[in-house]
Amino acid sequence: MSPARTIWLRRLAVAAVALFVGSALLLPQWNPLLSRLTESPTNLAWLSNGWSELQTARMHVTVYASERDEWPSDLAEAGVQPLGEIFELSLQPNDLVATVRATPRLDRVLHGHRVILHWDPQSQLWSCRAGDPPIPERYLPVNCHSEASLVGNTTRWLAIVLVLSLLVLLALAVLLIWRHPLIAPIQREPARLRRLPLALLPRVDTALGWLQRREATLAAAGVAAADWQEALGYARLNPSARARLLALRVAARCADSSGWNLPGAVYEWTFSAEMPVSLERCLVWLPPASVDGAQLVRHLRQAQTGLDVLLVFVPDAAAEAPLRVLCADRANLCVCLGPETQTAWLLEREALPVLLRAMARQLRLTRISPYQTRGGIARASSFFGRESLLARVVLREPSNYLLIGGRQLGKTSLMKAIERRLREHPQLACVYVVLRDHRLLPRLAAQSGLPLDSDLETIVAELRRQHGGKRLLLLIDEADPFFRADAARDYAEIAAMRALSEEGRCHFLLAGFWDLYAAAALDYQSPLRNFGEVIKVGGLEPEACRELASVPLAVLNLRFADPTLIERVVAQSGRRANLIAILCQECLESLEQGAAAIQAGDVERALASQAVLDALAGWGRLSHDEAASRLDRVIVYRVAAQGWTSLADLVALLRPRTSPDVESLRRSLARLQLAYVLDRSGERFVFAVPLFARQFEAAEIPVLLEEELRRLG
Amino acid sequence: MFDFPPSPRSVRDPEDRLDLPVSEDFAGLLTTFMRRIRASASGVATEIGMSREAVNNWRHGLSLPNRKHRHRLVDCARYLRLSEQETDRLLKSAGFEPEYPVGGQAPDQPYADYVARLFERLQRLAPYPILMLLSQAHWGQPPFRESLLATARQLYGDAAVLHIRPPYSVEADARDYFTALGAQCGFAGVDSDFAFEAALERRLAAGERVFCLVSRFEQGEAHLREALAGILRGLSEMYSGKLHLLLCGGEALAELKYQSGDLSLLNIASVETWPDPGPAELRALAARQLPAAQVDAALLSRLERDCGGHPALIDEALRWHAVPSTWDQPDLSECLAGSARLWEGFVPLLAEAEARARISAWLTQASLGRAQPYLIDRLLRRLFWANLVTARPGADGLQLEWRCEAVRRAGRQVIAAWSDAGA
Repeated sequence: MSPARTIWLRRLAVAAVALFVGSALLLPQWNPLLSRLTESPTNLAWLSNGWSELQTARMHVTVYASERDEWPSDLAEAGVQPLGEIFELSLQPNDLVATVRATPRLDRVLHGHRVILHWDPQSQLWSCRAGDPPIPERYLPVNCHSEASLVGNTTRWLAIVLVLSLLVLLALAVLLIWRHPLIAPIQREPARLRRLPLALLPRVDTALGWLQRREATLAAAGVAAADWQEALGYARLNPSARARLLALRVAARCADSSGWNLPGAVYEWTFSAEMPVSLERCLVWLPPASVDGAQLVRHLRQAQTGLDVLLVFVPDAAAEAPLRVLCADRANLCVCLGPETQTAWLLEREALPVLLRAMARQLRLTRISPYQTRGGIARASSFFGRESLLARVVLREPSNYLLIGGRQLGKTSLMKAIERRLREHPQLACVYVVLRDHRLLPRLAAQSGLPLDSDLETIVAELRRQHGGKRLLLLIDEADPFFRADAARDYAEIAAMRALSEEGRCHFLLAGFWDLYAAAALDYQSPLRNFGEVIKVGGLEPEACRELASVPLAVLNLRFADPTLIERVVAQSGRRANLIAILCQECLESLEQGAAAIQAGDVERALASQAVLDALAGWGRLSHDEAASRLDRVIVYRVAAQGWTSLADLVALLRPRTSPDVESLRRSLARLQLAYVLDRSGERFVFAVPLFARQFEAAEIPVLLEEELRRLG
Repeated sequence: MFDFPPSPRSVRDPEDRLDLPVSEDFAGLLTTFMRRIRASASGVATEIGMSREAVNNWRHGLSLPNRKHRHRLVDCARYLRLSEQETDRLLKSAGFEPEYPVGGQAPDQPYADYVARLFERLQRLAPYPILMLLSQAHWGQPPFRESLLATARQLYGDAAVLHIRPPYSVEADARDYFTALGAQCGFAGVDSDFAFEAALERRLAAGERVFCLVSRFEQGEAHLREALAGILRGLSEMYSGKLHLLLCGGEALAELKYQSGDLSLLNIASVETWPDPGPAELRALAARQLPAAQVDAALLSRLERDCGGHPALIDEALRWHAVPSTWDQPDLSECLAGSARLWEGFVPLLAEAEARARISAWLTQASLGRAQPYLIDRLLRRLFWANLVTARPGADGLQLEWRCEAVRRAGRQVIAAWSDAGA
């Protein structure tokens, strides 16, 4: 509807209401609602004639009855004309009945209505009462009104006055609620309460209290009463308490930060591990309210905040504009949080999204990327999928496991997820250890505070003591060097570990790659073969891939422009979690300032980025055996050259130069599959990650293959 | 046996008045540096592949290193754990050009913006702020080390900045290695890898944020390097976000990352390659060696075109400009083609006939193919790390190109000389 029409409609409505109320008060007979309840002057005038007719008839009947001492048998006998101008009269014993005639002079509603005059022979006095149907009491003469009706009439008028007063008050209240500049918007849209400037909250609270609307409004706005009280008290807090209150709401630890040449107070916040973006700490500045915005900007320009993000909690709306201009420049690391944002911070059920939205608007997205592209995922919010693998460890009785997969495939992330899931287990304690060389026992001893030469049994006993006597699940990452060294010592430590696990005191989850796999799966003589269940880590589940691509973006209010782009990312990455994260990170890098959606061009640039090539490199030496690694490279170059290979194809390729060892070829193919370089498709092997082929220049592949073949020969 | 032919109008030619003066006594300097770490002549000789007599002759001032043995003197400097500045002093005293002509210890270094961006990137690498800074030949590892450390101290505080310089010697045992590291970090009583780890962990466990610059990460004994990498990786994992690591190195460090999957520290590290100097950096470098009046747009344009971002060539070109010369401008490229450092870059790559043939073919091409973080072709990779080729933006992304015409000329001359010698 057009605004002009709305204005006219509003004016018409106001005029109608004014007419209605005005007529009700001043001319009720013209009021459509009250007209039936008030006397019509015309009716009153004609009825007064009727009362005269009745008076004459009554006089004749009184004379007749007093002279003859009997009630006349009919009106003619008493000398009364039965048909008057207004009434038609009739007689009943001691009653004179007057019926309103159907005359156009009177309202139709009065036609046929009656009034009865009663003659008391003893006192020879007349009394009056309403007939059947009765003439409305408001038209009757006062002597015809009953006593009760006289009282009721007064009460009724008082009630009307009261009701009208109440209606007026109600109208005023409605007007207050719907037109009050503070309250009205909140009542129309309660969520606005969370976006009001902080300084207005006490006034709003008073108004809501006066209107008895506080609880209902808070409930409609989704604001907890405790949060509301905290926000009301915020203004009275000193800066330190304010900073701590704000920090608490985003699960950050707050510490004083000194040495700043800034007016007001500066604090350092350290965020928890659950922070969904790559921001571990930041600086917080609470400037005083007495300094104006331009001065604050000057101070800010002068301050050396280093490489930390600086959150500026603006004291009032007047200071906000200049600071916002400065912070809008994404090149700096300042984030302006105005009075409205501070209210949201204090009143939203989750304050972290408020902070993230503000940072996403004012910082480079890459500074607060929600993707972790390298290393084990420590944040639960960044870990997606692997539910079936997790269930195999977490939902079963403790046992030994060998977690096997190539680098950057997610072994460490899975171990950390297991550790998180079992953190509150009543009978099982997880201990995560990263080996840095072959020395397992000294590493465990150092971690448990024992002498470095302690044996496994002592270490396990100490670790159990430290964990309240619970059974242990030792998560041992980077176990390949340990396993190689232990193999050279006839698996002495593996045997000790097996003995402990058979007793149920401690179980082990060893994570590694080829050495572990070859012993556990390919070597029938190895004691590792029955040591534990082998869990291979490969690509992520398709749905988890989609979540990994889209959910972190939503944290920053971003998205892929088209769902098919997510599918392209997932397909090209071969469902490798780190590649998906890297691709999304690269999309963020190329996202234009202010853009809210990742477009196809961004995805294509990401697919061709150096970061992706960097993540794909590093497959050239998967084994410590140089000959095996060379064979791996031959196979990879062969697949790069023709798109696939097979055992028969490789044998045919190698035969002219050397006598191919089929077992070595099979091991190489197994190794490359485990490293997620190759994937098996029937009898053929292809690249597991379609992007992998982008590493190779068509012209260089024959040269590289030839060089490796020459060296192999 | 191939030997260097007389190079045409090289900046080293005495008649061109561009040769470096021998400012310090080589024998005295070498003796001082050897005494400092109690290195024996035989130890030095073993490390650098020379005879003990040759080293003794140097120490006693009976001879200077032959010009074809410059790289051995560079190895010697590494073994003696010399800083970039000390290495250049030693080379200069023997009559060689400095190895690190650009990126010394100047306080007003030209890469200030890049260094700031480097630290900004490090901050973003949560929860594992680990950055590998790779530099091609003739850049320090890292370049502008003091500037990096100064910036780090400004950002993290003096006490939170550690500088680790792994000992070069492959004969050092674990005790010596970690004692040296402990001393560099100011940790008392460190005599083993576990003690070093415990000392560093105490700092992190106290809630402190520690920045650690590791220069020349790749040098030293492999298993000790792996132990150090393991310690740093483990502590990064346990104290997520607290330990900020900047690992510096060159070709060998890149090989460790991309060719050896065992060092998971490097697997989770992000890679940054030291960039070529842009106009601002060239201007700042030129301003350090030339009067302000000479530093104009024309000079910068020539430096950019003729040196192609090669630090040693820039240094030589600036020296050439620093003295009055009658040469015509077009001669600069030809002059730079005779640079010993270019020749030293090419010679080790040409031992095999096939390699010579491939490089000859490449020398005729403008582009050598698509650049990648890790070049799969070994020969191309070596050319890159020798700082003879570089990655530049092209229509299809980053492309590998010869650094400049002087490099191509030098390549052609070296191959021609090799053919002549073979014939």
